[in-house]
Amino acid sequence: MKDLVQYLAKSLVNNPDAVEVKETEGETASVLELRVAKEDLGRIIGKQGRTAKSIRTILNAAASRTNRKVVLEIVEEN
Amino acid sequence: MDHVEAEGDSIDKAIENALKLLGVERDKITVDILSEGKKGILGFGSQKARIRATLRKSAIDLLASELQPVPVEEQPLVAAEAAAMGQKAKEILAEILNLMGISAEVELRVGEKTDETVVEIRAENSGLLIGRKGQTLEALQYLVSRIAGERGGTEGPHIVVDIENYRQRRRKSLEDMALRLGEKAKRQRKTVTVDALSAADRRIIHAALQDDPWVTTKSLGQGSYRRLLIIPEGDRRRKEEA
Repeated sequence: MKDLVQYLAKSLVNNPDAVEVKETEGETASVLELRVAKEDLGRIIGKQGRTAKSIRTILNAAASRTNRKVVLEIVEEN
Repeated sequence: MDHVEAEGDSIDKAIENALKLLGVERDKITVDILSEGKKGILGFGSQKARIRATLRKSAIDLLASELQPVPVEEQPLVAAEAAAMGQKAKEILAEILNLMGISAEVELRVGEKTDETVVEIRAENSGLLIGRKGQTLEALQYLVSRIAGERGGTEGPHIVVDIENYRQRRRKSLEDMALRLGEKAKRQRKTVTVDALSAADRRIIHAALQDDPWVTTKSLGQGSYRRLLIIPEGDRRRKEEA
């Protein structure tokens, strides 16, 4: 899952080196924290959140084969 | 490009101008009148007549063989761009599926239109890749096109991601539903509302009912609340509201 998010994020942004994904495993769910360069945030979220929604849809489809849930958090640095 | 639009002081003048632009005889084109134009008073408020001249099929072949007009040369360029993008899309999709842990084969197929490239998936669990109402397939298509460098809007080549002819099956079932709901609206003389459809799905329904003179279709509302109305001829009130 982590690799999938990493690949998608790196392909979408202008600064692939700034892409960071941290995976935290809970009991029934994994949380993926995605960090990108500030200027790339829009490219990850997309118009009306369409890109972010698409990434989550694909993650959920991939996760449905396992018994675990996946939550994608896009982290905005201050 | 197989048609031009031209203007003139009268429809005849506009047709003359179109023939000059295309460099063909009158019998090689069909003419659609876009605006009849107005004479105006003392030159004020006058409007030029506008027409669209479309080359007849036989004339296109003729032109292509003897004249090689400029527009025809653009075709290979679009095709080359589409091919390069298709190849890229294929690799991207294969990588995404691989990372999703799905064993699948990805193939390229020419689309219905020249600027459209279809990336076809062959996999065992197609249901998982299609998702509810096709939303997973939609997400794959959106991301693959974005990454492959598709420009927004209608410009440039398009990527379509398909699996087991899902696109065609979906269109067929939406068309059937449209016709069924159209009949229902007419029978009950009441407007039928359909919601939670994607823009592409709504377009299929609009198109399926556009030739029916007894019903009108409209979309109302914003974002995910946008819904489609099928209004029968008898339901005047709703027609005026919409």
